[in-house]
Amino acid sequence: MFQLNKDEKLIEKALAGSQRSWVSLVKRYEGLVYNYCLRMTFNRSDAMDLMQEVFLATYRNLPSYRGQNQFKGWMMRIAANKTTDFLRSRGRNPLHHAGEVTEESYHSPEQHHAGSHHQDPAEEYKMAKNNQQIKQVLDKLPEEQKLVVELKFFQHFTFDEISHQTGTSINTVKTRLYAALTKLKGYSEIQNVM
Amino acid sequence: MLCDHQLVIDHINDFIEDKLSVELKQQVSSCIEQCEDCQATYRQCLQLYQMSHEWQQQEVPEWHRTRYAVRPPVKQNSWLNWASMATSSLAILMVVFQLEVNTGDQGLTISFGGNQAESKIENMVEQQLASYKKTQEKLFEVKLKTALEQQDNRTKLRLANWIEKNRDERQQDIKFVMTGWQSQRYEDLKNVDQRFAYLADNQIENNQAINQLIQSVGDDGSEQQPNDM
Repeated sequence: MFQLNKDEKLIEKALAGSQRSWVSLVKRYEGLVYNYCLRMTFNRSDAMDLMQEVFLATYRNLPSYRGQNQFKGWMMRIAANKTTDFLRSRGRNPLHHAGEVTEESYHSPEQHHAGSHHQDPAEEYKMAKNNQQIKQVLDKLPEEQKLVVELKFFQHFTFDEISHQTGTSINTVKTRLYAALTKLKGYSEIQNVM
Repeated sequence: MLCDHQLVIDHINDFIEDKLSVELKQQVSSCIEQCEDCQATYRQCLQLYQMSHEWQQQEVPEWHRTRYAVRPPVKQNSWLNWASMATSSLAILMVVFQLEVNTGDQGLTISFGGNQAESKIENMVEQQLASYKKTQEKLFEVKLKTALEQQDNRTKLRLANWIEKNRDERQQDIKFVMTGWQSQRYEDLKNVDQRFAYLADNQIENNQAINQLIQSVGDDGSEQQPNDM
């Protein structure tokens, strides 16, 4: 509740023109959005572009935010729409970029800078590998199924919230999730055989 | 036993996180134990759930968070706000009380209620009507003068044409009369000449007759005179 009230106050001040409030609001959610974009685009540069688009759209639509829902859910709806537009507009097939991203995630200086200062190289490598595996798993799914998995398992939204954010019915969301699970089941079986 | 797959799909996340009620948890657990599909769903969900926790959060690279987003706040001084509010209030009061400020022959006059405006409007209307009347009169005079001048010019022009035409006719008449008179005079002179010639002939004849008579008388005298002598 305190979190929500703080969001509301920051939004109110940002709408009044306070840059500091807007920056505070962005800093609260930019990690969430950036990692979401990273999992959806498999590319740091694209994730950065997409995140900026999401926050720009969020700011532009801020006057229409009524506060009836959680700000996070409202913003993630924008993020979902922007992600869909982004991937469609670029005509991007994430399959072709999974390898690049994997390399990038190992050797990019950003990766070194990004939050692993206090871990030893072995731990760092293990975590990077985890991210790579997650990307590879998500990479097997079509965009709409990947979006549902992302929102359900990584963002922990309810079916009702996911339905609201993606603009589809709850049954469609469940069907997509079930299809994604079925697809991943087949992928896991192949991985186990190999 | 028929398994409710939908029940598992609906509550699998809460089941994994142990957030379900005891009764619902038993139902889901029962489905998972007895149904292979639900077991597979559970395993996949559990795997994804674990994966979501294994994800190493990436720090956001430094970026310009306010580059396109925030408009600079419009700062207004407090006295300006008060001044604008006072001005607005004054304007509203002026409208409500129908404040009128007029300048005329009597100087600056301030009144409330809007009566002055009506009389002023009437005066303005009368002035406008009088001005319009004067303008129309002047316009009428100018038009009348122009029409008269045009009429006069037309009359003069017509008279000049008539005079010119009449002069030609009179000259022709005079020529005709003169020609007639001259021919008549010529005839008269011719008659007079004839008469004179006739008279002259008569005179000559008379003279001859007189001479003959005289001679004859002379002859008779000479013959008688010697006798008388």
